[in-house]
Amino acid sequence: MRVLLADDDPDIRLVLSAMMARRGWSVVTANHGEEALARLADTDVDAAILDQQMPPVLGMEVAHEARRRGLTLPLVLCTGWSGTVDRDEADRLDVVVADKTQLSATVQLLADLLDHA
Amino acid sequence: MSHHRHMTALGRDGVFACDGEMARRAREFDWATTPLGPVETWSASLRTAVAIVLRTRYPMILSWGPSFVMIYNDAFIPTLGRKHPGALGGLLTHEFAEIWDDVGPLQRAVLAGGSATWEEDLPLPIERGHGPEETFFTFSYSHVPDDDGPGGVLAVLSVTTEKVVGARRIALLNALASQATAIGSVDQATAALDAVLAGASTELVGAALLLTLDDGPTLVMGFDDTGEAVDRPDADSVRASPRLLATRALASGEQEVDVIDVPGRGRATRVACPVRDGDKVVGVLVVDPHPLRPVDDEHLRFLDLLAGTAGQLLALGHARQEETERLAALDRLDAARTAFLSTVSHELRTPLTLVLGPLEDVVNGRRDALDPDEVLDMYRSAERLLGLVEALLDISRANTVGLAAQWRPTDVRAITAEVLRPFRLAADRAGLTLVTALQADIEVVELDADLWEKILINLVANALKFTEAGQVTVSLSTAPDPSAGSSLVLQVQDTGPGIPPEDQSAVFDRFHRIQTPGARSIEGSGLGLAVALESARALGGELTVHSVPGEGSTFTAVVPLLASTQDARPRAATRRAASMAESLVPLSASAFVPDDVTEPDVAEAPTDGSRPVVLVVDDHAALRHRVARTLSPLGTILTAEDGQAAWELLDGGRHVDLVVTDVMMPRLDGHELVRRVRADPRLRSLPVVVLSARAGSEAASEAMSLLADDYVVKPFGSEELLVRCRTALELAGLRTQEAGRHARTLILAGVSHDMQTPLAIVGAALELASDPEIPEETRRDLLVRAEPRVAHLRRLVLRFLDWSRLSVDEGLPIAVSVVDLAPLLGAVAAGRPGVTLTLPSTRAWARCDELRTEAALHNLVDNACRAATHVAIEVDTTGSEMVVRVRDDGPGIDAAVAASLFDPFTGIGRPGSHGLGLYVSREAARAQGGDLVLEETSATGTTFALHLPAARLEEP
Repeated sequence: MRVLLADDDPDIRLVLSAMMARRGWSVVTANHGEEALARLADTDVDAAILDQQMPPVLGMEVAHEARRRGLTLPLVLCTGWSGTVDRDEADRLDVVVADKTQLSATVQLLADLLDHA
Repeated sequence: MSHHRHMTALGRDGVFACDGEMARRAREFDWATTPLGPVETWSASLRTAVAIVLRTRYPMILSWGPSFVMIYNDAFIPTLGRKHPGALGGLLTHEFAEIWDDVGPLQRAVLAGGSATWEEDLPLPIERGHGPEETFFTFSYSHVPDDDGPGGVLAVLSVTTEKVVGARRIALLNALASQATAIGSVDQATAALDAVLAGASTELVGAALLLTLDDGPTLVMGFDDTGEAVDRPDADSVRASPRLLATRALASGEQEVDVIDVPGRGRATRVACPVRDGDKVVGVLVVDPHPLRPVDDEHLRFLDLLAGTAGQLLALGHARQEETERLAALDRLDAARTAFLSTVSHELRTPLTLVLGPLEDVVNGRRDALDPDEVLDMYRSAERLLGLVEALLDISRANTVGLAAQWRPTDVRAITAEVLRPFRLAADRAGLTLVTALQADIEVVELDADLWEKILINLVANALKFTEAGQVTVSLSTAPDPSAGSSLVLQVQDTGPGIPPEDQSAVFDRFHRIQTPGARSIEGSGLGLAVALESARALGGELTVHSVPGEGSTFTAVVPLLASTQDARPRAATRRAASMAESLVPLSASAFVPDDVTEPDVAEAPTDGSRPVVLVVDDHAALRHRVARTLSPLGTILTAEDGQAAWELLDGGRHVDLVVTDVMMPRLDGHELVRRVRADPRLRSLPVVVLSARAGSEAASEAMSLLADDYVVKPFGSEELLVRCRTALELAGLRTQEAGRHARTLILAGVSHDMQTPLAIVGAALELASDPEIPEETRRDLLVRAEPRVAHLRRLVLRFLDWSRLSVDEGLPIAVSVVDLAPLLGAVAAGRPGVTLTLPSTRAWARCDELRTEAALHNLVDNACRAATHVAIEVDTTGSEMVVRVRDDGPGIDAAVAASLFDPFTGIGRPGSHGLGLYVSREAARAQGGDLVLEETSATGTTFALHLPAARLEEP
């Protein structure tokens, strides 16, 4: 299992990476949205966790581009300010929105998604 | 006579007994005819002097006695020119009458026993038989005394003309060459040449430059000896036209010299030198040399050098001008491309919104069904989208593989009439007349009906779009083709504003849009005419425009007429024409207006004072009504069809609580509307939401540059639009009235927003760290990372609590102690790249609240790090105060912002800031007997200073 983790906060990357490593997953990290798009293109990953706030490219925009490229992998969008995420668009893009303040719940959510898939 | 005494010393033969022409001539000369008398009678002094002169190889002339009788040596001959040999024994006063005014007094003074003179490079106009020539002399006069008489004057001299004139010429060439750095165009090169040559009056009295331009040799610069500039381009106003000689030089490619008659000046020499750019003759420099300067070989070589330098300047100007023009062309192309992309984006998003919006409402269950008008509107929008996509495809195809025509037997008259039908209706609706004149005898021809339709639709749509009153005439006829057979001629003539001549060549560019304030609509991607042109070319024809500003434009498409013997193929009708016509001049829009929408022209509809008034501004009627309908739950809706209408309403004092506006609109666009609102003191705080056609961060920066409060990106859903507008209204409400209660909610949200990331990290780190299976190294790493986050959380909580106390006028519970600022600042600076800390050599002890001081410093450094790459922290101990300065090299704080920087909520609406930090920090500093001030801010950086009471030394 290989997961792409895109977040501009190094501490979040560390914590989430550690949590996923504990489950035996390997983690590919990206510091921002553009890098996330590059990793999606050059690395084979099974799922991705995208932070919404990583200017200049937002997580939702990464998701949008990934879907446009025909990628069907599970995508989890982390957001703390849920008000800035268009839930309709998330549904359209088949993106699951997770609460950024609940990091372990986010990892669990991704595990459930992967079990389903 | 006394001079006989000396005869023995230097006899007659002895005086002249030396080699040379002048010795011979003097020997043979009958001196008895001169005031000197026969040689035998000459005094010893005279004899000695003459002997010295004749034997010297340096130019010398002796003038003896009160009448200055001349005796000179061989070296002096060239100076005399044609005066030699007649000058021997002549009188200096006669022979050099032309300069006697200058040299006479000197001669007399020396003869009278005055001291010797020395003159350097003295210019004297000498007559040597070819007219006066300015000659430069360096000479010395010395007295040759005589026993009995006055004696004579010995002149030792050299002609320095060559040296002086050479130096002047080099200076002139240098002056011209030194202009190179300042030259950016051919005109500037010409002007520099003009200025430098006009200042060279010692060398030339007139000059003209003729350049070989498209319409022959053209005088671009010239002046004559009156000092007046020669009127351009009339070359014949020079005293004597330089054109004739210039033409000769152009023809020969060689320097040409002529003698001309100049009125009032007599005969003068004129020289024309070809001016070259590389090997190519690009013009001619015509020079009238100074009349006192002989036109010798040296002079002609100099003039060629002058023309060469002029050529270099012109070449340089030409090259720089081309470079500038090339850059400007690139800029224009870039700007056009950007405008094109933004227009296309706008054009695509508007109909997309109209299709997606209502569908989303139904899908989300906001509404049960759509009414038939709305469905029709969606259908039209989809058609419009299709049309745009087709146009884009056509253009990209034309650019790559070219449009391929499919010739079929076509009844071109019938198709033309059919395509025009919806436009006729549209013209009626717009109060215009569409006149058609279709030649009756046009039979079935071989034609690509689709391409023909594209030509027709785009030309007619263009004509209707730009014609405000009058008529559009479409005529179809045949005309004989000079090369083969005959042609089909389609003409579309309008009575619009016309196209300025300078824009006519660009109207077919695919990125071009005509800037016409009076355009009926700015709809259209600017692709129409490009598509029409490509279509005409694909049919083997051409499309041209003839336009007179103020009268109108006529577009003419001419394609080869290929007669067909077959019957016309039946063709499925397309909706393209109808769709285009409807989008140009919408069908009655009233069908889509919901009841609760008020048009501005009936603006006095009752408005319930408690319900907000929302002004919706969009030039696209269907979109305007959709926005109005969506926002109707917010309050009373007013609509305006463009920025101008909206501004008239606002400027007229109509009360409005929120403006929702499109950006691209005719007459007055969104940018200008918001600019006016923000510039008006009555309206400054009026919230504005922009309907943006840009995507993602571009929309945000557009909204920011517009000073809009928020933006909604097209295509937008009803829910999103409603939420954004409601928020904008509520925030504006907060700003004005119910600041307290709502602000507290907002602050809570802001503080919790600031807290959530550290909380998440701390929580998760703790959870992980408690897992026994986690490697020890990771565990330590996690805890190390969690620690500063906990400290940050503690400061956030402290700040929030302090704000809560301040907001209810409760004092802050300050806990003062003596604090060593050194370790505290060390902790603040630690782990932050780009932050430098400078501590004083003395102890930095303050009497303050340690926790609050630390929080304030963290806040200042956080802000500085956000704004800049380098931050310097310095501590100053000034008597009773400790001052901590935090300097950054950021872009500075805007004056308007700086004024309210320490007010609570200043940062509202900006992510990551709830606008309390500086407010609470200052209040805390004041409660400790200190202060927090913005010391300085400029474009190169900002300095905040935290003042704290210093601790007395014995205190700790």
